[in-house]
Amino acid sequence: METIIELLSNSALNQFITSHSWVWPTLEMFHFLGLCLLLGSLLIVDLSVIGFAPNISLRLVDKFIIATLIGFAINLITGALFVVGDPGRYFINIAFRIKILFIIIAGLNALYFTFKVRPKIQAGANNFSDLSLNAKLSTGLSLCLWTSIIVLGRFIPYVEDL
Amino acid sequence: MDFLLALEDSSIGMMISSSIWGYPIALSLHALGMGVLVGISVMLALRILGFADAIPRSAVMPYWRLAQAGFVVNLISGTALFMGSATSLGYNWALYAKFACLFLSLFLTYRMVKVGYRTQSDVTKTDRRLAIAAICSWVVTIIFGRLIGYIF
Repeated sequence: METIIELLSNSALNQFITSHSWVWPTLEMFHFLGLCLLLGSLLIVDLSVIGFAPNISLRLVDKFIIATLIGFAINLITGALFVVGDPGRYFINIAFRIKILFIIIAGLNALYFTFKVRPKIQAGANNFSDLSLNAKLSTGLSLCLWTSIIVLGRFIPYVEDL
Repeated sequence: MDFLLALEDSSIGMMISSSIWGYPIALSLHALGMGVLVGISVMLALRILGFADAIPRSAVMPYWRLAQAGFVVNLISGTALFMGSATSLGYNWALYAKFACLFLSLFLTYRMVKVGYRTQSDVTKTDRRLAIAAICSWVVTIIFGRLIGYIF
């Protein structure tokens, strides 16, 4: 771990991020815009599956997942740059570690939804009652995980002593 | 200044500034509220612009109710955050720029949602401009929101 921190701390990218005062706030702005794209589109998809907007066809709503993926890509890039910019702060932070764990679980859950739930929706399961309990749990878990990921992200600077 | 001091010395102001968890909890709620409000507003604007056009416009507009709930969360958490640092935030120009952009964004999005519910006619060029203006306004609101922490 210390080797990785040292390697990143001495990288040219780290020097660039730390030596230009405008880089960090710019990254933060993009990170928040990515967060909005990700959460907004995810709410539309997941809550449609739950039945929030019953006039939306579940077969069509997954178009919004494109926005989720774009938001996630923005946050992955900006998040990685945060880590490169201040590796000693992030790698040892408990909130950051749990956040990364939750992102991995959310990714696995998204794979489950894509390969197990989505085919059933494409095959004609067009409302909440047509879906299995596992499909409903997957949708609920997605919302809980991403809510927690946002909260954990905000907690990173405040749990540095833990 | 006395008013700002009174806000900071209030029980809510003290809870935010002095307790261990007050500030991060309010900040987390503010981030969640922002994600819900801005995220859904941008999705509705994208739908007006023709994204996911197989879904009827009026079918996605009920999500505006959820976006409004996000705004309420932000209003409450934002007020608490302001009370925690009222004497410094009270003189922060980025905060007032954010307020101006926020009200403009809410107004533009409200107008756009009314367009979304209109089922009789197609989306006009003016409606598309309204959606683009709403997206731009939300982006600028977020930019000013982030600048608040960097301006002293």
